Amino acid sequence: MNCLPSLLAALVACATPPLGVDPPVQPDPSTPDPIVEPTVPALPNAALPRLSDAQWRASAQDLLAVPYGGPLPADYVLHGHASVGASSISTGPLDLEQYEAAAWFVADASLATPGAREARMGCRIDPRPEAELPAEDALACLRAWAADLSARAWRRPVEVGELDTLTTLAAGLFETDRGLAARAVAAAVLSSPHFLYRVETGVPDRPDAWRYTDHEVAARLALLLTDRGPDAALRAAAEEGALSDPAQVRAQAERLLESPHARDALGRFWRELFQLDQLFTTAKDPTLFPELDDALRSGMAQELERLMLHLTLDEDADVRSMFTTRTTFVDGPLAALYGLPPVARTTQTEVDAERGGVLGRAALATVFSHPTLTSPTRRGKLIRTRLLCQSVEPPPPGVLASVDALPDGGTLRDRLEQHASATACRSCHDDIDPPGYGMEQLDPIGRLRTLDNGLPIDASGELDGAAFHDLAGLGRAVADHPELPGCLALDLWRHATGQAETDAQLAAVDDLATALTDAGMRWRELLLTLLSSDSFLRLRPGEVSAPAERCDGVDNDGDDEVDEVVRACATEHGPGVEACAAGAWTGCAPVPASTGPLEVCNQQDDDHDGQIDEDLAIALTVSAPDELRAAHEACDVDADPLSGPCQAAIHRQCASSGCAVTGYGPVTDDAAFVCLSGDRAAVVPTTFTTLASHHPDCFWWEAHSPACNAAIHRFCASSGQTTGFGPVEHSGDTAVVVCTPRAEVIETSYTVAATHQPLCNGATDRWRQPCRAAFHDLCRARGALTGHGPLENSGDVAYVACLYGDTP
Amino acid sequence: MTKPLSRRAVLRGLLAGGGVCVALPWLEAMQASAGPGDWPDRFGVWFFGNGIRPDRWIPRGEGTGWTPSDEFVPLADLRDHISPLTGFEMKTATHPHHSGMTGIMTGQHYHQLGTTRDTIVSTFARRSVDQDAAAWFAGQTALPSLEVGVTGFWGTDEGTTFQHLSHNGPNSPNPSETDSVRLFRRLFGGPTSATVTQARRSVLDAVGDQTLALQRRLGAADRARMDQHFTSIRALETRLAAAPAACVPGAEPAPMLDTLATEQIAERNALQSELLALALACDLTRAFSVQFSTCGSGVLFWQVGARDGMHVLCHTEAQPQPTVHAGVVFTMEQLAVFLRTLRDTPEGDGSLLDHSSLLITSELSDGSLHTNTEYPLILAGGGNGRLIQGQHIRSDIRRNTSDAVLTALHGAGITLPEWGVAEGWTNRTIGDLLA
Repeated sequence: MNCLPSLLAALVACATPPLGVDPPVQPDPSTPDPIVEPTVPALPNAALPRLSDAQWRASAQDLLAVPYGGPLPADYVLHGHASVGASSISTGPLDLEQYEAAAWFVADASLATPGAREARMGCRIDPRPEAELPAEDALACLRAWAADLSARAWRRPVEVGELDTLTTLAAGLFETDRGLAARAVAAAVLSSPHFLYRVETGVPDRPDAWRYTDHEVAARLALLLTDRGPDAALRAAAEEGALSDPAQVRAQAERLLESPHARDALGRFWRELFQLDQLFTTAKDPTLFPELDDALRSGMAQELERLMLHLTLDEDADVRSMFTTRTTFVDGPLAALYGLPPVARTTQTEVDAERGGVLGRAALATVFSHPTLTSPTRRGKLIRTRLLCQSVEPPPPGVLASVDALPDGGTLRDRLEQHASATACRSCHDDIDPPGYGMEQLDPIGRLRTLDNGLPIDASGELDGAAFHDLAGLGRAVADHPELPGCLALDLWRHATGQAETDAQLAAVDDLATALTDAGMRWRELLLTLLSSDSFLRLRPGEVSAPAERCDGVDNDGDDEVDEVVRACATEHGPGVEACAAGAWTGCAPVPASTGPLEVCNQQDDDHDGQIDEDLAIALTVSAPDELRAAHEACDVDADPLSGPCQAAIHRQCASSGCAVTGYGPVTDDAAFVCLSGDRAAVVPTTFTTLASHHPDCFWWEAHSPACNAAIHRFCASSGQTTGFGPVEHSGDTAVVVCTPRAEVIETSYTVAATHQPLCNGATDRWRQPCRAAFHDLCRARGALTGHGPLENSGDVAYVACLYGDTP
Repeated sequence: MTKPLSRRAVLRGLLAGGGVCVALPWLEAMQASAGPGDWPDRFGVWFFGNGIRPDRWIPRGEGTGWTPSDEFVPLADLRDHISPLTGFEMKTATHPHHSGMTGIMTGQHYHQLGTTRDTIVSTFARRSVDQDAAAWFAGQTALPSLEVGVTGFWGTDEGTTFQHLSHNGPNSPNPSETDSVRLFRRLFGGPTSATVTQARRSVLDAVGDQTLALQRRLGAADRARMDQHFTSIRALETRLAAAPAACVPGAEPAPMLDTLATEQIAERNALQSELLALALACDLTRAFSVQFSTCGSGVLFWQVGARDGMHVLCHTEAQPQPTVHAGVVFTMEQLAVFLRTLRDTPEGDGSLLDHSSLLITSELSDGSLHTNTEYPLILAGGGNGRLIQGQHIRSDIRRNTSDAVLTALHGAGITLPEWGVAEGWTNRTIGDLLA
């Protein structure tokens, strides 16, 4: 029996079918085929694919600006593609635990501080020391943000009931902890099945074929090409109904292909096709191949990925050149493996080298071989099954499938040919091994070689009638193989539709293969043709059509309610929420003015007062005790806010947000501290030895003391920087202090200070918390924004530094 | 009083042959009132891939008068706690590896997802036997079940059959955790604060409602997947609602930085066994599975001189396959470590092993021939007095492997009247083993 079934028959034709699998049903030639009305090609079914690992991470980062590096459920590869398995896999308890932990991790990290929350939300939920914020106003802000976040995360309009659920969730936690309420909303959005799965049901616009809704098309396109939900332009196109037009879909796809995210997403298509992830799970004998570390494996994988992106996207070349190209991309370890001149160790350098196209590169040679030996069988299977989409059979049960060692050595090819001469094995191995012999010039980690077991290598072989003599000849034989276009089309079809084809659907794949050939074998054109074809935009009529509700005057989801959707919107005063009635948006209801955004350091007029970044040089900030503890684990702000760890925590907390580079405090009873921007404060590393030269009683073991205040003041003044405070970090002799060159140094007294804070009377306290608050208040009474001190003190006299919003 | 248990101390105890010392307040409290048979029943599967060498596996002598074969030597000191069952046959065998894996775990033929270009793609047709046990014990513990892995090799064939041991149903695997740090954190990395736990429960509640609402908009197949999703949400809600584990383990294990080519298999096996024993002693779960290696595993037993993965070795090493045999012996040594860990963890009047019923098996018999007769089967553990161990049960009539599985279930008090489907169906237990 012929072991080479044509691609489009897609039936196993090699040897006998395995036991327990029904043999293919042969049509009875005596009965004529029924007459079938012409119809659209058979279409994929509605599916519910789960986000891939990469899609989850990219989407979460896109939504909440936090990368997640922890565990997620593993992708499930079926029929060669994780996208196919994604439509089958279920989420068990461990998977769900991982999703939940990941959602909370991202939510916690993204919304950790009041400043971060304001930056994400564009309005405020947290009160400031100087500005109370009523709970209902703050909830309105949170609701507007949740409307935006959920619509982007769920890749569709959000229903008012869904937004109510999120708001109720927040309200229940609001009194306890407003930050936790915001984090819970984000965690709920990321834990939702509408985020974790691509929900699509289609609409019945024709009896024989439904089409995906505009929002569904946008999500399909964006996830496939960029690993994340639709961007603003794609969302707008969906909202306008533009994506019912295949030409517009094609235009959007072309736009997305320019995005750097598309390189990651499509790079993974090639990684999957070549099974490059197996590079990291393929064991090799470390005594034979000590150089094969993770860096080299990674270089191998990146070479092929980069090469395919180069050929298909950058060059838009004839894709068959992948089997003949001399272009390669090597980093240091891979260049060494290839015996090429040295290149930069960790960046990929484009090099011209005769390596026989992708089949001659280390990655495939390594994955498709054994720990100590090459494997013409595995390599032959790669060519037949992965590159040409042919089928080969596994060894049937009960057959001794073993290659006994030849007593006197010989090449692996000699041994395999002996094995293949056994009758039971011949029919398959005669077909599988010969193309693999062409790769015998590569050892188990992809180095070129001329000898195997001390004997010359015979790399000649044959592929479906095309004889070749070496690796380069094998590449040409695969490139010229008539089944190659069909196989490229089929793999992309599976990857993009997330389904394994039925026989009926092969007609559509056939059309794609023809389109590829007609387009001069340009793969990018194949991709764009597929994405604007029925195979991607339409589906087979399903059991249920209940697409997401949208604002169009129609009950889309069949729940007897019309237009029950809301959307996030924006006014000049800040974000808001907008409802829909009778197919039209009813106008933006902005959040209350009290939650309006505060100016943040971004060169923009955040608070819409006509000024940019005003008053930002100095910001009064509040952080919860656990946030300070996160900044420095030894800071217990309730017990001792002046401790070294807390001073460091405040410094770090300021430096990690907004315009600020450092900060000091607390300056109020409710533990608010002051953050300073770079034009108000200079962070200066020094030593206690240096500081002691300015004041002899400033020691590292008593780093926060009037003596060190004086030492730092004199240290900064001596370099023309007026005054300063600190240390904000210290370790051993090393100290980091802050100079405040634009401060105004004033002479005042503890008598005056006590009018602001009674305990700062020169007797009970001279420099601790009550005096910090007193000096802060004292400066504010002079029109400054804050102040620190004492810089020096003697008797009733104290010197204090006041800091102004604008230079006095 | 709760006494922290240092991992190092436990390991030292193990190496010295001493017992694992778990000090648990509830156990002490329980001990006062507990009588024999009051201890929790546990059911577990310990699975290893690629089978055995039948000629060196079958013990000599039957009944209680058996002597260990070459491949049973590592288990010699556990002789009274285990029973080799030989001469059994997998009745649902049709395809190498796939059918044995699904047959032994479900008593049913695999569910074929299609034919890929070089093999079949399969998954389990129904939930696996450990999940039968989990369903029986449902609601009694914080975790419905626990899945632990040891070696890192990931199966080569597509479909879940080659990757996963435990299943909730088709395409619904419960992955085995091979990372000891992650396993430790999952078991003992308790909640941060009551407020946060409450917030997490509120989130799950909202998400659960949304999942049920979504279900109504889906076709039948996806409704079933959402059903599993909802079940998993409920499992986590149950976990969060449960009181925190009453036992305090020692320090988190240090991460192991080995590679697949130099896997520290013995070390990880000892650590995973210990964490599993702790989870059982703390009564975090009563149904579990250990996937020592996957079906058709390519694990590299460099410890016994193997220079190729086990699956490839089975197909390439010349008869009588000394390295394959050494790999099986090595595997049995690791099994022995696991069983000793349970045996040496005291609980009331006996040990964890006395209160467990374990099924130890593989996906075929002879890896070079893919045979399904002389199926590797060991039952272990006292089953809270239900099982009479220490016997070699020999079948001359190729008894159904499902008889062994049903016996193991009954040993854990899971008295299902029947188990398996079609050729794999049985309602018979092995009488000599049940008290």
